[in-house]
Amino acid sequence: MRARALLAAALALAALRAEALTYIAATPIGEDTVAVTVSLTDVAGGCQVSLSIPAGSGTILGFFANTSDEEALSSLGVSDPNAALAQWQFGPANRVWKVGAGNQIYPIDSWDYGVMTTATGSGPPVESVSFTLTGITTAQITGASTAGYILAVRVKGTGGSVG
Amino acid sequence: MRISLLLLGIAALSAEAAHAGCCTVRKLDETFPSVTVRVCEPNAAGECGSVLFAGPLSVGDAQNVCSAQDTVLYREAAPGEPFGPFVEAVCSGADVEI
Repeated sequence: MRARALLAAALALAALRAEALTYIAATPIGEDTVAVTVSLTDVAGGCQVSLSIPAGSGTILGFFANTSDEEALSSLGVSDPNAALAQWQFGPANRVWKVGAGNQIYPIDSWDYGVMTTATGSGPPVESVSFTLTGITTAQITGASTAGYILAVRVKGTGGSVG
Repeated sequence: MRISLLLLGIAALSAEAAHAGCCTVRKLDETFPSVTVRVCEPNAAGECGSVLFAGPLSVGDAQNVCSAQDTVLYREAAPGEPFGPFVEAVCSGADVEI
């Protein structure tokens, strides 16, 4: 599974709006290509992260990223009023790569934090999800990278492949 | 006085119940088919306060835990490896899939 775990990440992506920094990446999952949309919006106390994929294309498992202020990593958290998340991990810096079953990014495995959605093997697909990372700004997220990647989204395709 | 204390006691129990939760830690990930798992109830500092379960889990295994909080902390160790960092997981009825 680890060998098949491809990176679904934003690389050389364009910001489409000034208010919400939005990335769209065409992610290969098995023989399909899934468009993953990531929007980052500064809100009071943190950064709202919104993830979405087209209906019927799979389920969103998780999100991984970094911060330009690693010393403040221990003070980061999540605000999740919609109960969109099941698990999260903040730090150690550059060592986060797996949060929950099947939600891992490999071989690029040096993220600062990651979250897992409520997606389960038997539940309905998670095609859009929104939550707030507290204690961090959009600039701190986009100002850091690992192996050239700013962030990663883990998606499981309808056929069971992941990317 | 006694009535006030009783009401305070009920309020305290209600508040605790609102945040307490039980869940099933279920080993599904096959990256490492067998791991040693430590599940904790977080303390006020968000660190491992009390250990709810510690032991091996293989793919397909499950362990029920109950926490006074609505989340638990867990960490895994692959065979021959040290424990990884803690992951915080919602513990309110649904499975914690690891």
